[in-house]
Amino acid sequence: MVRTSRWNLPGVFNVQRLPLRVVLITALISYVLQIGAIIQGYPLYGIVAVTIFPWILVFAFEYIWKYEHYGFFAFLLVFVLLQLGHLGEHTVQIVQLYASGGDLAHSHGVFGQLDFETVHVVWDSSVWIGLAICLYKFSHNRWLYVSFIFASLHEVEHLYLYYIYNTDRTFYLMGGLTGVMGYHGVIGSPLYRPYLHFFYNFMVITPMLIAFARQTEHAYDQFLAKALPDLTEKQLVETTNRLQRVVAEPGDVIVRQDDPSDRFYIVTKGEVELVVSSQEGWERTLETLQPGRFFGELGVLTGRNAATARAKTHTELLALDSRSFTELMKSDAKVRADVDADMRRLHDLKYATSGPGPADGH
Amino acid sequence: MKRGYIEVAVFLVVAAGAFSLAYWLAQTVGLHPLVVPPQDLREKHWMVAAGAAAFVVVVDALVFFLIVLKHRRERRARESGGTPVLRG
Repeated sequence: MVRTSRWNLPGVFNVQRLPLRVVLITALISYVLQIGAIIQGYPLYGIVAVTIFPWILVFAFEYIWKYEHYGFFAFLLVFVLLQLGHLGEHTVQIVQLYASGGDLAHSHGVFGQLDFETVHVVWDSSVWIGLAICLYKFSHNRWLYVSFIFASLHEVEHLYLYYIYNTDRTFYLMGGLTGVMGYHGVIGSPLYRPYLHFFYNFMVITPMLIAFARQTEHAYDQFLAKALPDLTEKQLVETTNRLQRVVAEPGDVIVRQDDPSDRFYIVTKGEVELVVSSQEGWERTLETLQPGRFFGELGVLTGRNAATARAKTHTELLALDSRSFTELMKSDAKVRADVDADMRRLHDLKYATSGPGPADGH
Repeated sequence: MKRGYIEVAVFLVVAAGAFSLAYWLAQTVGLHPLVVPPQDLREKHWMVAAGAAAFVVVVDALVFFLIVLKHRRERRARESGGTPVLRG
């Protein structure tokens, strides 16, 4: 059965890969596990861990799908989410400090077991390197430069702390853990270490969020760009927001020959065969479409499907409604030429022979 | 242009707010136990801080150098009439 996603795709913030029922079931499992952990008297990190756990697979599936469709932008999305989680951990720590009157021994955030220098340096180095990669990929995004500079300052702090922690543990325990910019550190400031690092993280994530918002305006589906390479970036972004995901299983008919047509399709996964049949009963396969190819354009422009499109394997497609497709055709001569060329090719294939082919006719 | 000013304003307000909160907590709540490193030991380790800063500066410079090369490639492609650079 051909299934159409109910999600419209402006897509990066939507759950696009998984059906709504999977998300709801995951939410239910997560909630049940959370209640169970609270009843069992788990510590805070245990409660948070079991609450997050069921979502890991959902996020993994979504991430793979988004990476296939949006490319490196999907990495930036995950990176921003992880960094928000990191800021959350620091925020919890300063709330704990406030509640405990500044008692550091009882203020280690949610995952307090991970509050040691090796974890800090690994995480913050990952943020620094990750930002460098994002900056290279999206080098026209000025806010990523701001975020990268603050991540670099933060990195200096953690490299210093990690070195001191491993080479001079006595000094580290005598106050060396305050670092470079902490209160009475090498340079020093009025901020004690937990408050300083809370501030550092704010200075990294704030420009990162602004950069992400800007980058969202340049995010478009890579399959659309592959299918219609002459679209401008603006057209790609606008059209991406109108696409719908369609899933078909082997043998499913996606569109039927001579039926009224209302959508244009791009294959993103699997294979689709285009088949023409006659009133005499013979059937001929015109061609098999791979990911990045499209069909349905002739049907949208003439009102009737020129051929039957049938899924050969598990297939995923992106569908664009006829109105949006027609607007796209009207807006750009180059795009119209691309589609015309494909339509002519299909027309030639269809009328190259007037009967069944030797191999596949029956 | 207007949007750019709004973004800068948001950034400055958030930065000032985060620093104010951190400063206020440091002054009112403080930190216990507070262990202040001795001055002589602090001075002993300033070279470590300088080394860490030098390492980060070198890596950052490499990143910026690669970006400059990338932008130069893009500009040449534009000038030679190649396909426009998509920023997505």
